Amino acid sequence: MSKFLRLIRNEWKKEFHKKTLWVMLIVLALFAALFAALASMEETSYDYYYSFEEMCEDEIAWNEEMLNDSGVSTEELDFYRINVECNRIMLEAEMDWNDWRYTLDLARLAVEAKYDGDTDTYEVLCRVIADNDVDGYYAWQMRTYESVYANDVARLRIYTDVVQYCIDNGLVPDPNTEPRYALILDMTENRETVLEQERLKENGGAWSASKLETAQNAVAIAAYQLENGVDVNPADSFDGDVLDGILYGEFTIKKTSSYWDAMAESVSMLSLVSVFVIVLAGSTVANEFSAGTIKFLLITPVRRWKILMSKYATMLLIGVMMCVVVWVMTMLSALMLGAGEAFLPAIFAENGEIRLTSPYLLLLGNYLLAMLEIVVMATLAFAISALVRKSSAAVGITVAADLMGSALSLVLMSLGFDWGRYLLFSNLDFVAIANGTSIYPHQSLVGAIVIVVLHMAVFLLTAYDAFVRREV
Amino acid sequence: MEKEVVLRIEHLSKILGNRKILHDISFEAYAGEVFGFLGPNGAGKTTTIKLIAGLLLPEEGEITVCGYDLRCEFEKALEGVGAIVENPEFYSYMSGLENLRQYAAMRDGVTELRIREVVHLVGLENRIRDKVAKYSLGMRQRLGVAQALMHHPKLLILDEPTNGLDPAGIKALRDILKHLAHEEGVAVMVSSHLMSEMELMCDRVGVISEGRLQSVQPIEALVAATAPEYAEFVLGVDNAERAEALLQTLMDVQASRGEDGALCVTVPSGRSDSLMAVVNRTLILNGISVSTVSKKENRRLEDVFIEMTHKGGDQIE
Repeated sequence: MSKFLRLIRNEWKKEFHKKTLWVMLIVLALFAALFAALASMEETSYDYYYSFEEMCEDEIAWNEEMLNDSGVSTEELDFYRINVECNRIMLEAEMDWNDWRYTLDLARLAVEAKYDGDTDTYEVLCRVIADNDVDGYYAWQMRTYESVYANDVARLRIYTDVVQYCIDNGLVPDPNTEPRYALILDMTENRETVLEQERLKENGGAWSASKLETAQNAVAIAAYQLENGVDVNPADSFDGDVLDGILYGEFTIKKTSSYWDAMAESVSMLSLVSVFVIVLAGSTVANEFSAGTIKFLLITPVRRWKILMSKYATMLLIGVMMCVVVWVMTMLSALMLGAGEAFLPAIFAENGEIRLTSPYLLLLGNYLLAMLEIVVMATLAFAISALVRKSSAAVGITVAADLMGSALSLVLMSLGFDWGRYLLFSNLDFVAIANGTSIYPHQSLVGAIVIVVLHMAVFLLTAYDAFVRREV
Repeated sequence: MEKEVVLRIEHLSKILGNRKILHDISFEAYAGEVFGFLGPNGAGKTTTIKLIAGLLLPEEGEITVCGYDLRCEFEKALEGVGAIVENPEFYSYMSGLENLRQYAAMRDGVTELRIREVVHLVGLENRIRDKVAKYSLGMRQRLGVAQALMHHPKLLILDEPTNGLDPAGIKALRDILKHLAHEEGVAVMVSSHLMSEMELMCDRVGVISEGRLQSVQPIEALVAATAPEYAEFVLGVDNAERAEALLQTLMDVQASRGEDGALCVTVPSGRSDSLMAVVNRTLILNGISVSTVSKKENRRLEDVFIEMTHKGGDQIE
């Protein structure tokens, strides 16, 4: 075994003899497992603390009270009356939280139609509600579309296609319980966009090529899913707004995979890894000095830069190991909650062509991008530690920089200091820069990589100089 | 017999901060001998050792170990060096054995068997699996020696190795060092501020003071140099006053009265035996009874040491 590998093994052993590292690993494993369990949880059921009947009765009571209030305008009176009436209908129909009629808010549609003078719709919808009649609902929808889009054949096609598909396949029109219905809704939306953009293009309007392409691809994906009976597309979990959906209960039409939601969100756990690696990298050199062990370390027949580099390499290895722990624990935890989705392919489309990829590759890509920042921060902590030989200073400065860095570049940007774009912290978010959503406009990925590499070189040279020439 | 030079130091100077710690130090250490590096606190012993171990860089001068220049061929030079510098500090969260394995991995050719061997040599076998945090200073000193010995160094440097050792430990260490030097041909360099210790284990001694090497000589020469010109004896006699007067008449004998009525006799040390016989006979023949005769050690090694190093640590400079 080469000497350098033996040096790395030495450093590795030292770290694993310390309790700190074990505590960190246990914390990471627990947090990852817990986080995965939370991220993959199904939507909350309100049943638990509030029954549907209670909700309707409360609504009726409150709105009636408001009706009796003096000084209410006629418009507001209508609003309260509609509320009372639609809640009565829902109560009578014995709906529940998960009822498709509630999800589509049919009662409100009906009552509002009545107040608009459309008694036909009111009666039809009341019958649909009373009989829990899905086919009746679709028939009504079909009739409505035919009258609304009578002059627009292309658009009418889109909507009648949808309704026909639902009727043919006997789908319940509820995106929450019927993933295929969610897909259909999503596809309809995108087909509408495609139509709109194509028309703008034909008429010389301001059409957007990227919008058109995105919508076309989304239609292709949804069509593929429907054809092959794939309810969820793991690629959706990597869109970025899934967490908002989970945390704030925002309405997302498409159903995402709970397994892949958890896996994709585990990337945010890597900020914890970042802090841990900063702590370790900030103390590896400093601790040798404070414990006095540096003397025995340096009177061995090994060049100092090799010792330094073995420490650096060990820190990076430990960082990688921590990321693996997060990945594995997330996977184990998520597998227990839903193993069926673990082997689904991620579906993409390019120019309307379907392309299947392993979602694990997507995940790996996200992990690698997040690990880049860990490497930069670890290098900074390592360099400061070699320079000042105080672990507290190295860790403190680096964590502060990590926390405040992006805020600083944001502040500089908002104050109009354009040179802020050349700061390290304005260039760390490679994903945002690649997507064009970075803080400073028009940042290029190549520029960001150059800036980051330059900083890393300065950090490492500082550490090298401080450690190799330092008198002990 | 031509001696093999293991360590050669030429015109070494070192400045730390704005103080010149070492002034133009030159000496050699040979295979098969224990070289003592003697000096008061702050004289520059540890600085010299740190320079040899590569922990510091010299301002001027050259250090050669086993023929390799320390600056140009650092790794080759240090392969032949084992050292303890200042206090032996280890990774306290690991056992002694694991600590030794760390250093073994940084050197070539140190087997597990060799580690066992040095552990046995320094007498730590029973405690080697304990965490170093539980070791006493003496035990860490022993572990330090094991660390310095494991790779069969040509040059062994120990900075005040008897610190914290009990008398039995000091004796054991002395035996180990003598064995290494005289039987295995290692060049051993030991620093100390205790001359008596040097006398017991060193073959040659270099005396350093205020950053200057005062002398390098064999221990016998140093001991001889410390031997006084005159020997002083204290005699218990019944009539000191008369005895004094009697002895004044003798050639080369000086006599005086001490405070407690004892008689002090000073004779040239080279002829002390014959002269004291004359003194004794003179007193007895004149009817003065001599109850005791004792030699007074008025000039000890330590006094010479203090004299040689000018100040002897009055004030740390």
